[in-house]
Amino acid sequence: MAEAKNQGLSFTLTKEQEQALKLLGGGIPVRLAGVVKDDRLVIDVVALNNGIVKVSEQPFNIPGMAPFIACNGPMPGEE
Amino acid sequence: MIALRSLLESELTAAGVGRLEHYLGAMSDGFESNPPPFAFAEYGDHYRRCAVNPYWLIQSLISNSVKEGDGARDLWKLTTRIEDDGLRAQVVQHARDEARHARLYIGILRTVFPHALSKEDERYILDRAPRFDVTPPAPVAPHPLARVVDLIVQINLGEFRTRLHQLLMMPVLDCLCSGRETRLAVLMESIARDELQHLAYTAEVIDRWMGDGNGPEGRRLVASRLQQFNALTTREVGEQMFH
Repeated sequence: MAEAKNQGLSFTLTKEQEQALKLLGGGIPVRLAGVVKDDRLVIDVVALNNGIVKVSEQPFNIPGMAPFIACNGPMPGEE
Repeated sequence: MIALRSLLESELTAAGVGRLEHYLGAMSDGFESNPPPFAFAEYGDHYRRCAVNPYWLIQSLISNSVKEGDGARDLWKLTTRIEDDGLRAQVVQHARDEARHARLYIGILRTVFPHALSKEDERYILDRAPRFDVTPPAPVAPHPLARVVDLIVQINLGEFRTRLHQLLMMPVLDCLCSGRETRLAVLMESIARDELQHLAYTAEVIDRWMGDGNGPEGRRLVASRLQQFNALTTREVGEQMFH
């Protein structure tokens, strides 16, 4: 039986759950996120390797990704 | 806008700069006539709404790294247009600092999200950060001083906003890096120390120039560049911010 630990909480996985998560991760760390519904923890996000699969070659062309970044030279088109 | 002026004053004090009345007056007037988006609570609220998404935060750190590298290249290029040796040396140092920041942001990413990047992706990003020669390029076709000051005003506004972003970013990152807070603090403080110096030297250049009989022109310049910078910030943040 495998044990997943997260900030002091630990859960015992069934053999099937263990196998499924190992297959899903394929050796890459798996992160789970979920919500507590009554007495059940419902996992709604399974992220592999923190969700990062590939770095964007055009980080500024992703919608919503440009804000709040550093600005260290003259304004665009000025120099 | 009093809070923004106070923040600016306290940042300059932290950088060891005396009172720069011409500069602070121009910035204060500019904040009143053209309030920057980053002066409003909604700006911080929007940042925190975005930053709860770790994928956004990771990409934001990567974007900061890329942007610091781009800024470093622009500054390096600018050094060839500055005649004054002292100011040119400061801009050269500024460019070197920003190139280092491009690497530090990846260090921050590695500290907060140790598994987020593969070695190959990390190498790909780090390879994009500029590496400059020991000897800076010689000046060619220098700009008139007024044009240099115009560019310094733009750089100063960018530095101030960048500093504000760091103040927004730090508590969010701190929450996420359990057990590695000390490492994060070292990296963030290293960047913050440089940014304060950049804010300070650019503010001193503007203040000195205004004190040399360019007061009214300086106030007009700051107001006009602040208006443009605000439009740029609003465009970057997008219409989503105030919804």
